Amino acid sequence: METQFKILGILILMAPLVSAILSAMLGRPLLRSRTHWMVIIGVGLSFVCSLLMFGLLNPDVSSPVITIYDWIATGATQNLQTQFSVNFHIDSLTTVMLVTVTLVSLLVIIYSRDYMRHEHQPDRGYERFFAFLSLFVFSMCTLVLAGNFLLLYLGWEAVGLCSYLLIGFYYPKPEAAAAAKKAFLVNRVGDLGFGLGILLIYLRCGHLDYDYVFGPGLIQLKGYETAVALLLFCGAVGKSAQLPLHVWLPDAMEGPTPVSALIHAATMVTAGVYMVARCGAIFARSEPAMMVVATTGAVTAIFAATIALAQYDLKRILAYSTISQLGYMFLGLGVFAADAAVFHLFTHAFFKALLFLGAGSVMHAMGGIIDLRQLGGLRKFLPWTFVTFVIGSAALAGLPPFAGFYSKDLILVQAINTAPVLGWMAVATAVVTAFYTFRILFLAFCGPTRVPMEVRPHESGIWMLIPMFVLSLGALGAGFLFQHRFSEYLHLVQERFASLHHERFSHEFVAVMSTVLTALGIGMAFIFYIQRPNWADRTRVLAGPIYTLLQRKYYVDELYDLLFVRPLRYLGRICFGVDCYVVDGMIWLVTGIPRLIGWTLRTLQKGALQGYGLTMALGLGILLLFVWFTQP
Amino acid sequence: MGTNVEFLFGLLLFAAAGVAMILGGLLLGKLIRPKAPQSEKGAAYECGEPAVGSGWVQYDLRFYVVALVFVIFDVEIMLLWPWAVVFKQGGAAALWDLLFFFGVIVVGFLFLWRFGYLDWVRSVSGQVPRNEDDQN
Amino acid sequence: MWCASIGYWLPSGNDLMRVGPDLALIAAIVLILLTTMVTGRRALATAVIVMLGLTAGFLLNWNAGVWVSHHGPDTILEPVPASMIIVDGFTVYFRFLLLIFLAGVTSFWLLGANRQEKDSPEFFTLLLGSAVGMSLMVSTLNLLMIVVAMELASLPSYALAAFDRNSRKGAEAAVKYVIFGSITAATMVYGVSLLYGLFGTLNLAEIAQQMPFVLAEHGRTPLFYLAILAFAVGVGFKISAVPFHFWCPDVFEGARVEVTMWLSVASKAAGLCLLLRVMQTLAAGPTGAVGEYVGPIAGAIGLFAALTCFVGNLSAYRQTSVKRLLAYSSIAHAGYMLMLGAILLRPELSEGAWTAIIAYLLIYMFMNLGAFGVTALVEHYSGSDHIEQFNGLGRRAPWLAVAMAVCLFSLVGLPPLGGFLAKWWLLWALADGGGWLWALVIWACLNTAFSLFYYARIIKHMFLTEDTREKMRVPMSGVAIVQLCAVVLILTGTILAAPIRTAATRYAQGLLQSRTAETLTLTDHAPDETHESMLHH
Repeated sequence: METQFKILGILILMAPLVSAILSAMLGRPLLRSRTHWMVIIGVGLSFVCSLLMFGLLNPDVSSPVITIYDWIATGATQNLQTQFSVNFHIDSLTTVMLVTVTLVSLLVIIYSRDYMRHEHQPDRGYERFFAFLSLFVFSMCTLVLAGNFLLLYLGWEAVGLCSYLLIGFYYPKPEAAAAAKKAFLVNRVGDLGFGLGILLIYLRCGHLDYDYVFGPGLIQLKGYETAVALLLFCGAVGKSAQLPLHVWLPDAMEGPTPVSALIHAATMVTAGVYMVARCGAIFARSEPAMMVVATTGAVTAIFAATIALAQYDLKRILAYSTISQLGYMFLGLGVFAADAAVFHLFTHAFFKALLFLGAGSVMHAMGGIIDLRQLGGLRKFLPWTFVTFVIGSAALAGLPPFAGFYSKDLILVQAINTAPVLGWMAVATAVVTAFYTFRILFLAFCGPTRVPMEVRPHESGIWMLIPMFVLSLGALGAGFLFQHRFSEYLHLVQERFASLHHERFSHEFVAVMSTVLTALGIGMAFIFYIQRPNWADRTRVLAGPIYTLLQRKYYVDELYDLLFVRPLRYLGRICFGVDCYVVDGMIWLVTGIPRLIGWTLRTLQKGALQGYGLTMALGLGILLLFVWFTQP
Repeated sequence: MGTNVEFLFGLLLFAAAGVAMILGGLLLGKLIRPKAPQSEKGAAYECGEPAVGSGWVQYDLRFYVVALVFVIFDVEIMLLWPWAVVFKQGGAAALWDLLFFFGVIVVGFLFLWRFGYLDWVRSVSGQVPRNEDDQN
Repeated sequence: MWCASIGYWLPSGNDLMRVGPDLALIAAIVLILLTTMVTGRRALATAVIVMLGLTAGFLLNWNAGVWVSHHGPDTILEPVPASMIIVDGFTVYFRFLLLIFLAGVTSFWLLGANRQEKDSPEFFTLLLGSAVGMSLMVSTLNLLMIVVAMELASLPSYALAAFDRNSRKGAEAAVKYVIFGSITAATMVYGVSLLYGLFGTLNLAEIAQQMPFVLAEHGRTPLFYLAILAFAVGVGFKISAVPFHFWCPDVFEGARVEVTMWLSVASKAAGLCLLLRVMQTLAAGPTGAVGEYVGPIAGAIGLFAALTCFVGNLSAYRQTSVKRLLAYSSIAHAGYMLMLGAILLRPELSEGAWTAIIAYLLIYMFMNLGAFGVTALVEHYSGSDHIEQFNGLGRRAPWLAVAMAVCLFSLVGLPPLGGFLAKWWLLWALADGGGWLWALVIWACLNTAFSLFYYARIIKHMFLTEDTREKMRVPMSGVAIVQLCAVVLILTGTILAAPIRTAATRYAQGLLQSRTAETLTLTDHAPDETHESMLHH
């Protein structure tokens, strides 16, 4: 069993890595427009191996840790582990994540084959795109498979790097370059906390292996659980775009749409959720940390959902909805429903990727137009896209047979029973979500067409539609099929606070209520955007300042600009001045000494043999004297 | 430390005595020899042969080659000496041992021979050496 | 009697297998000469023979390594306690290093403009000859053998330095090299004869054993120090430790770049390994003797190691010849490695020290092979190694420039490259010693910071200086070799970090076990008649 897992794990990692390297090296000179095959094969292999691993794993047996080899070794020190290995921690959480990541990646890569070809000439980065995507799959699988915090951190930073590279894929475009930079910088803030958290674990436990830290190490962490958990959570906040570090994700939509679907909706942004679920043992020991996680999640969920109400950029709305859904997941984690959170992660990957691919299909059909005000009535041009989009929207809104319903419901039940205030916030979010989701659908696909005259929309090709169909199946059935098995499979048993164990609201009540509320939201959207389109305008005028507030995204960007960016820029200027005059002067002085000595030495070494001999003799003399005087 | 100082003193004394012997000899010679400053005194040879030109001329490189080859064989002979002394104990094995060593040297020697490094007169093959080597 | 004497004279077949790699190299030399005599001077034929010899040497060394790992170290000419050659894990390791490096130098010789050269047979004869010498330097503890091996390594090197017969600089450098070499060799032989006079034996392990008894006698300690230091002069010359380093920049600049490459790594590594082995052996003497008699020598080595890296780094400022710059850099690196000599005398630290040195040498080899390789290619294809020739290399030959940058950053010791880990382990081993060794650690760190300036200068020329010359046409194979070095450096710095260390630790343990085994056999046998009579004849 161990060997099988070992081989599978290595294959899962190496297949995308090798295909990334090969497509980077051979892409331009040899493969050109065939580059996608290399990556499809690599990621496909990775997916098959993930499935095999999923099949082989017995969730009831304690999870095996598989050491591949020793990675870093330094000399010995007391109390600290100085030998770090590359090891895999394979349990049900790992396999679920792996299957999700590789499946969605595979579909998105197949989708990109057409999408990117129509976007570009093959020589304008087609190979680069696939190489980066493949590298991303490798990094994400590293993150998920990691059996220690060091490897986790490596994967964490590597996915960040891939995200940066892919957001800036159209780097000649200034917005794309700025968005890439923003994503990178904002993530640094979170990663600082994450790094410190890992360091704290290392200092307390002396180990970074999960096995140790979540086992005997928990005793050594006693008294530090809150600090460690909050520091780790900083990283999750950055990576998963939670308040207050959510600002990078909407801007990240500057990247190609498949990237948005894969990295900024389905997989990478859920790394924070994965990490918190993985470190559940630490989080569960600290009530304040759990409180912070839950509150952040709930507040972010409603915050982002309301912003989504007043946006017109199709991809941005979806980005805010991603932030909002991630907020749900954190809420789930915070109220001891990690299994529900991971279940939501799983279903969300399907329907959000589907929605993004649908948006990509629209963009593709419309020649890059993404503003809702210029779309409309696309149903008859893009019938298949419309069908899949409806499925995706229903799943996102949380209508009963669709995937989102089951996972969201589990979170809601647990939240209402554990932290009522947050729970009701989440319920309100559900209404808003239903509203804005169907607002997109109605504005883009129904009603009269507002398409500009020169654009001729057309349905996408089979390469783009097939991944969308597969994802639709997931968005349709993933929730229903797995609703009961999932939490049994996951075994994310967490210690719950005993006092909160009883259920005030039954599962059925919450389900019915949320369905009714969702229907209400959809109905409102129907009235506003189909029946009485002028109501929407009237509301906009009526709501006035609130609407502007929402449209300007609560002025968070402006606030950050005022609070951080400008002061930092001034500080930067001051530092630059100091650097120019003071530091440079000091460096000049400091390097002056070696330069002077260097000059002396060079003068000594002028090539005259006698001088060399003399110095040599002198040196030997000094050596003798030294030994003479230091002898015991 | 005392013993070391003693030792150092001894060393110094030894060094001083060494220097004194040389300087003393020179000084003594200077004091007692007759002075006859003739031009022949500055000549390279004092044995009657009149010297031609300066002593600081460049010698023909061929002398060095011969000297080097000589040194190589000289050293080889030196290595043969201890071998010869205990040859009886070694017997046949000793013979093979040395033959191996000798064989390696001989190959080098043959190489020199083959490419004309041992020819005294190699004005032609020496000046335009390497293109014609193949045809030799 | 007969049988015993055969064993005495002719090493057994087994023993011959242990020294197989050296024999393979000698066979390659003989073959080169014979082939040349028959077919005339053909560079390609020569190269083929060399590669065959290297392959044979590699296989034989592999075999020897397997044997050693099963049976423990082999001492050759065993009936005499003063065994002439020791083949242990460390010897095997060093031979591997040497053979790989030889292959690298050979490839660069072939890649350069030398392919048409008619002098190849001589070049490779000399190169392989010095390689045999270096290999023997590291596999012996007999003073006589050390002297012979060092001369065997040095004499061909002098000729190699002057190999470019039309270069005045090369001729000048070679003359300096010869004169320096002979002075230091003479000093060394003087030291060796003093040691022999003091102890009556040429075997260092025996010397270590007898040290406390012999030196207890009045007035002998200073003589011992004089002898050891005189001995160290010869080794110091080999590793170009300050103040015996003066030949190094001149020779490195004047000689061909392949020769420079060879001398910068192999010659230094051999000298260093020899010195460390000697220190280790002396330290293995009876307890108490070490601190008393050898302690000051460790201090002196530490002091001169510090000086060496300081002088090396500072002289490299403002050099415009890249070869010369790298020469100074190699002096500095010799200084870092020499620092470990200071802790070899403490048995509890020696494993860490050996681990560090083994890893360092391996990584150092790749760094220098890469850096000198790029310099060689640039020199061949633009005619000079002046730093201006590197201008705009990032555009003109991006693969070369990237490899060079990796090698240079690794030479500085920046993460995540192999050079960083090598230095890290070295400093860690030093820091474990505590006390005044911390001063060495800090000193090494300071020097690293200094060194960044001049390495970065080359990088600046490669990537930031504009240049309008057209693209450089470099053979793929050359690029492949330097890229391989860069990849090795990146891998050893990242995902192979621990495997390297584990391997190094294993070699180090093998070495230390062999030392204890050596000590044991020595205490078992008293020096016997034959040995005495042979030495005194």
